[in-house]
Amino acid sequence: MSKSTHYLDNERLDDLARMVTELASEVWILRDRTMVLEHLLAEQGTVSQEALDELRPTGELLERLHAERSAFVERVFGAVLSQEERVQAALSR
Amino acid sequence: MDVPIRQRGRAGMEFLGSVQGYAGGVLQKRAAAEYAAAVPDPPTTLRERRDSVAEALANSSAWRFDRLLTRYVAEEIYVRAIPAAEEVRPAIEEWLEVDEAPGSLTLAPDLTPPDYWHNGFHLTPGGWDGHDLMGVIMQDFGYQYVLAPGGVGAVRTGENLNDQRTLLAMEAPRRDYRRVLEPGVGTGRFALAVSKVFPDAEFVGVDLSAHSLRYAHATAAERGLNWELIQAPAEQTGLPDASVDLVAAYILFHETPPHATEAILREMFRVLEPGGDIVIGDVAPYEHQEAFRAVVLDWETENRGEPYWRSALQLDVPGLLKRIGFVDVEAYGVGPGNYPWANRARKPEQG
Repeated sequence: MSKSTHYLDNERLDDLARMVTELASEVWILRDRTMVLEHLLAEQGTVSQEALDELRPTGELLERLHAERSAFVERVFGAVLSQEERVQAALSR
Repeated sequence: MDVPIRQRGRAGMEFLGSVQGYAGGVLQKRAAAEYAAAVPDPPTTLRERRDSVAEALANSSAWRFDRLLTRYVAEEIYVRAIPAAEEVRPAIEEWLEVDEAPGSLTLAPDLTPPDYWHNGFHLTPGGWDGHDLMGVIMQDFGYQYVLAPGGVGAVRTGENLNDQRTLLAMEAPRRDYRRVLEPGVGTGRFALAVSKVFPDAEFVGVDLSAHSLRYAHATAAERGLNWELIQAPAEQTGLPDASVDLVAAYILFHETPPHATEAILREMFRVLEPGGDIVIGDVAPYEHQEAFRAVVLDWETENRGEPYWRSALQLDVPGLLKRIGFVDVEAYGVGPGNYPWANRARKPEQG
């Protein structure tokens, strides 16, 4: 189902925001992959593509990914907030 | 199901959950504070509330991006989950293929669904049964990775939507039911709560969605639950008169237009035995919502595939229950923020 309306000032602006969101997502997916890669290397000293794709994070890695992802999303999408709010958010990370 | 999702699919879905959580948990709260400051004495009718919020927050980045991101995530769940599910299709099909289960699954391939079924729900591509793995796509991708951590509709960011189901099941006045019916059983999320609260009762669930019922059947098999699952309209279950002593429904009636809601409740009255109970959980009517919250909820109607949301949240359900013949009708909020909202009633012993 296609989008029914626009949420910002016009549909092209919506499209740009969607593109930025998609790009942010791609950055995160790569970042997640890097963290999983580092985790596997630290644990096993070697890594295969299958192990990287199939790993289901648990425990400390799961928590670390969650914290990093939350901070990443906050930095990217919190850019719309005021400078004062961004300073507060940065201090609380 | 414990889906063997691969890294790209997992990370992409988790990203959506975090974006939804940020929109609901930060941007929307910011917008609510801006509205409260701008309009300290908000109007009371829905139309005035919508206009008031639109005017007061026209230039609010927090509000505009909260709405944009919420819509984006709702669409993107399927854009990401469908290919991620296809990638591990053999494992999902194996899980769905149930050889032995304590309960039963009765599908009706020739069933003609009511017209409202075709209006589309939750932005699912092709409709509720638009993909043969839709049960897993909704439950194990959408709910697990996005809606549970990020919030959805009346479930605010950080709230546990499974706890809310258990709370609602516990609103049934007895604990010794013999046979419980859930209309709109779907993938069985509320059925799990019902089976937990009433472990000794027989359970029967009806739904229009074959793919959701297949998911529920596999869940029952995995957990050893004796669920009788039937593909049928809740308006016409095919169950005998007076054959159940509890009807329990959860978030079904904001998916049905008022005429269907009435037809379903009349069917529930028929299949309940005299003295049987009905308990319904859904979103609180607009009159029990604060102005900004009501507008956020009402937005779902046009923007997140909830075509009957607005009519449902303005429907006088207690009045309808009384007209049908139910007695001891009560309506009240169960959890924080009046969610879930319960309607509870009884079929009279005589009449």
